[in-house]
Order: sequence, then C-alpha cells, then structure tokens
Amino acid sequence: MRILVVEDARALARSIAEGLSEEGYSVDLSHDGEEGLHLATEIAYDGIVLDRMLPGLDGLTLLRRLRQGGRRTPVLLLTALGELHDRVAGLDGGADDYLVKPFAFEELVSRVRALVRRGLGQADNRVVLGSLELDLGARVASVGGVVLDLTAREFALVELFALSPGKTFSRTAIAEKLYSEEADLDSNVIDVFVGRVRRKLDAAGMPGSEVICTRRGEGYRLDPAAAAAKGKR
Amino acid sequence: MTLRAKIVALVVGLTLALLGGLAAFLGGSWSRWSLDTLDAELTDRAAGIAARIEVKRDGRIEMEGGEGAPRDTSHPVRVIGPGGEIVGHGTLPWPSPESGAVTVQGAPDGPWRVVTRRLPAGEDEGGGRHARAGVVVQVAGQEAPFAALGERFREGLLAALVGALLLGGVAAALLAHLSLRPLRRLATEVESIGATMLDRRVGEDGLDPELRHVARSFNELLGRLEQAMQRQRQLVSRASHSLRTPTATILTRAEVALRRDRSPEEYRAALADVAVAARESSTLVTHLLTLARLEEPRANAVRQPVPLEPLAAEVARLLAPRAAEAGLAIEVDVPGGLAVRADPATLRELLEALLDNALLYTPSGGRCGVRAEPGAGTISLSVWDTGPGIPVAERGQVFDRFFRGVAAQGSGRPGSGLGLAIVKAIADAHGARLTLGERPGGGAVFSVELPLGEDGKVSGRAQVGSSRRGATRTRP
Repeated sequence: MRILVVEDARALARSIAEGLSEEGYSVDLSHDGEEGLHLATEIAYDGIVLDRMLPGLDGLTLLRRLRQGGRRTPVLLLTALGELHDRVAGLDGGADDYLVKPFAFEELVSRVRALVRRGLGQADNRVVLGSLELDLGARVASVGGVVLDLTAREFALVELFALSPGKTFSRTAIAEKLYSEEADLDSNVIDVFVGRVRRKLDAAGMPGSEVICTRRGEGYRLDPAAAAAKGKR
Repeated sequence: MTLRAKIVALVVGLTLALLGGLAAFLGGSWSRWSLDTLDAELTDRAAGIAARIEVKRDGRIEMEGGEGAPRDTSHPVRVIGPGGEIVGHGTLPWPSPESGAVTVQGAPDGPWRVVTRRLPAGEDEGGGRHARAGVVVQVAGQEAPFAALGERFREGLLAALVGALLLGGVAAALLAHLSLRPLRRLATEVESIGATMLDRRVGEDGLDPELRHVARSFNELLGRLEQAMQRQRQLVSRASHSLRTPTATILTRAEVALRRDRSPEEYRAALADVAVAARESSTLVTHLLTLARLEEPRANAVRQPVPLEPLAAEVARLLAPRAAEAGLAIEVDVPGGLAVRADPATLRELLEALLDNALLYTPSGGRCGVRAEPGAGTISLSVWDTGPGIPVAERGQVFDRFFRGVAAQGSGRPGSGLGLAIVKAIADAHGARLTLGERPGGGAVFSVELPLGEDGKVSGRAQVGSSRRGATRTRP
C-alpha cells in the first residue's frame, strides 16, 4: 500500500513516514503543496496524509484541485486548527477523515489503515480467502490458523493481492505499491520477492505458485478459486 | 437621573418659571390696580365733600346738609379747617395732612386707605363764601374688599399654575416616553448582539434622523469590532497552528521512536529532532508572552537616556554563541558616547530580535551587524545582514504577526514569525520610525529612528569623526 505524506514540518513528516513504513506502507514525502499535488495526481496512492497549512498551495486547495482532477484517493487531513468550522470545511473540501495535531501516532496509523481499507471497499480488518486469513489491523496472515512468518513488506504484497482478488498486477504496479519513490529497483526484485512469499505459503501447506499465479507478459494475480479449493481440503 | 426625569423636570421647571412669573406680575398689577381704583373713588368722594364745604367768615367750617347729613360709616371723613378746626366722623389713626394717598394700619378692622386732599387757592367764587384754600379733606376707605378680591384672584392664578404644572409634567413624561421608545428598541437590539454575532447589524429603517445617526454609529462600531475579532481569531488560529505543530513533532517523533528497539544513532536522531521542536515551541511561547506584555498600556513607559555602545556590545556578546553556531560574524559599529531616549529593557529586546532575525536567515559564512548614526535630533540604529534580503512584495507584511516570507518558509529554519512583530511593537511604543531597506551589496537593513538622549548630543557629535574607535568585533 502506498501512502503520500504532505507535511511542511520536516521532522514531523519524517517521523510519520518512518512510522508508516514500519507498518508496511511505502511512503512518499512532500514538503510543499505544489509538489504534493503533482505527486498525488501522477501516482495512484492508496491514501494521502495531508497537512492543512502548507507553504505555496494550502492543503484545502490541493484537496479541491485533486478532486476536480477526478482523483478519488482517500485523504486524511491533518490540521492544527481544531475548531468545529475548520473540521467542517475540511470534510466539505473532500477529505475522508480529519485528525487534529498533536495526535497519538497509534491513532494516525489506525485511521490511515481504515482510510486505505475503505478506499478498497473493504469493510473491516479481516480478509478471508478460503483458508488464507489476513488481519489488516494486526498485520498478520495465517493459513488454516497457522500464522505465516512474513516481513512487513511481504505482508503488504499478500494484502495487495488479497484486497483485489483476481486482479492482475504488473511488476511496475507492484513496485509502485510496495516501494517509495526513492527506492531504485532492479527489474527482477519483484520476481524474487514474489518467489519468497510463495515459498512461505508452500511451507504453510498452501501451493504458493497456484494461489499467486504468473500471467506471462502481464504480471501476477491471486487466484481466489485456488485459495478457496485448498481451503476446503 | 434618567433622561425621562430630566425632560419632565425641565418642562415643569420652565412652566413654573413662565407661569409663576406671569402670576407674580398679574398679582402685583392687581394690587396696584385695586389701590388705584380705591384711590380714584376716594379722590372722587373727597372732591364731593370739598364741594359741600363752606368756610364761614369766622373760619368755621360748615358742610352743606349740616351736621345732620347722613354719615357714611364705610367712608370716614375728616376735614381740617384753615384754623385747625377738625370736623368729621370716624375714628381712625389719621395720617398727617401732608400725605397723599397712604395706607394706615392699626385700626381694628384692617388696613384703611386714606386720600388726603388740600383744597387749592383761588377756587373762591365769591358771593358770601370765603376762600377754602388750605382746607384739608381726608377720606378713608377699607382695603379689605379689594384685598379679598385680590386673594381670590391669586388663588385662581395658583390653581391655574398647579394645573398647568401637572398637565405639563404628564405631557412631558408622555413625550419623553414616546420619543425614547425607538431608543429603547435600539438598546434591546444592541443588547441582543452577542460576541459571536458581530456580523449582525442594528435596523436603521423607520428611525428619526437623530436616532438613525446613532444606529449608524453603532453599526460602524460593530463593523470595526467584527474586523478586530476576525483579526484576533486569525491570530489565535495561527498561534494555535504554530504551537501545535512543534508539539505534534515532539509527540510523534517520540512515539514512533519508542515503537520498537532502535540503535543509539536512531535514538539520538529522534532526540535531536525532539529538542529542536521543543526549542521552537519554547521560543514561540516566549515571543507570544513578550507581545502580550508589550500590548499592556503601561509597558514601555520608562524613558531614560540609554548609551548605545554598551547596549550593542552586550547584545552582540550574548548572541555570539548563536552566531558561531550559524557560522556568522556580528560587527558592532556604534560610536561611544551616543545615547538615545528609550526604555532600556525593551530597546535591548528590539536589538536582540533584529539580530536574531539576521542570524536566522543569513547563510553561513555571511556577516551581520549593528550600526548607529546620529541625525537631526535623532539617532538611527540599524541592523544589517548579508542574507538574501526581503523581497519588495513582502516588505509590507514582514512586521505582521506569524508572517513568514517565502524564503523563510522554504528555509526550514525555526522562526516563530513573531520576532519582527515584537520589533514593530517596541518601535511603535517608542514612537520611533521603523524602516526596512536593502543593504548595498545585498542583504536587509532594519533601521529605527530614536530621539537623542540628553547627554548624547554633544559627545555624540564629537565622536562622529572617529566613530570606529568604539567599534567592537565579535568573531565566531
């Protein structure tokens, strides 16, 4: 899941990015409105954490332009203005959620998680595909009750597939979702990565290469039928 | 005293003065007229009696009709003959024959009016009658009937006066009530406007011109209040933003750092960020408190001669560690002996804030400094730097609270946005002109023009030629 953080207070932006990365998100950072709008328009983020007061282009204007451009990316507005009419203005401006500074980081994480989930049409934190179960809140995946030993990024890959079962993701799309802009990737990094996840699924008794199958020339997809079939066994 | 009471009192007072004056005048006139009438009647009677008098050759007086003439008891008469013979009736304390018309007191039945007539000579028609010259006729009449009439007249006047006063008072009260009604409505309307409804206005329609003026004044006042409140709200929300951002940084940085075990380097980096943010919020709080203190009417009340050279040297010394940290040199070029008339404490804050500003925005390796130049009755104290300067477009706003220029925002430097507002507040309190210009060769120059201190004049001029003597230099 890829998140954009637009926040001009650099130390704050840095720690939000760090915390979210450790939660398995790939995070892009921007310190001003113009650049933030450009990034948000160009890249299909799963969520945007947007500061309301920014130099150059302020957060509300950025949000309005983004919505006018047709981008429905879920947005969590951060603000230091706690008054009611500011909240209303933020939500009316097209924000999906609102958080007043200073905030507890746990709250930011759970709001971002809910934001991303809602953006993907997922109502709660539990995703079940046959015997494969994901707890998006605890960032834990299990097969038939046995917990898989996944890194944050590996979990993010399973999550990406599981939230859009049957959808084919190109290597570029996967790289975009799992790595932030700064990461310089070799073309086969994703293949190696998918291979590792498949092996971990195999180890848990689920045929990895059938569940995450290769579409030659296109990329990878999660086969819901395969996951369900193995689940019945 | 309410306005209504005042109006009623005014009307009643005026009525009392006018009608009372009229009544007094009429009463006086009445007394005079009644006496005149009585006097005329008595004079008539005296003439009648005189016509009936006969003075015999022996000087005796005889009245036509003789002694047996009917006596009019209501009009006693006394006739004094030329020989001093007195004829008449009625016992009164008669006045002397020399008086004209007088009132005599002392009779048991009230005051009497007595008209005395001395018959003139040459009225003798001859034919056995002797001249009556020298005969004195006195006729008296009671004043009581006239006085009683006068009393009734005065009573009538008094009743009319009281009536007029009552009527006038009631009418005045009614008038006051009616004319104050729109004022009361206005008051009710104004009272209903709370602090959160300053966008409301008082209705000006249907009011008399005078009250419309009042309503308009109210509305203008409301407009000014609304603007002031809006500015205040903006300030509060900016202050809130400026306070919450470093707090959020501290909290988030610490919470994220504590989420898992980290290397000492990572902890150190987190703590460094926390320290910077904490310093930022502490500076902000200090600046806000300084501004609040400067806003108090009695702040800045002190005015005394402040020698500039020691002040500038001290501030430069205080900021030297900061300058060293920023890789900058502070140059002090203030001739010794110059003094300005100012509040030493706030002047020091002004100098500190200006130098602080220069240190914040001048890139490492640059220079900044303090200069003082005497002018006509003033001394121009300026702080310059070799930084990027302030764009012309921003010069009008740099002294506004929480304004941070584009360069300042982009710099990522932790300015509170209040330093120059503090400078402005102090300069304003001193009535000093504050200007912002460009330094030849690049950089900003802030100058304050302060009045000369008493002892600054002579020695200041003497020092101009050798101004560098007092200069000190602080190197990082």
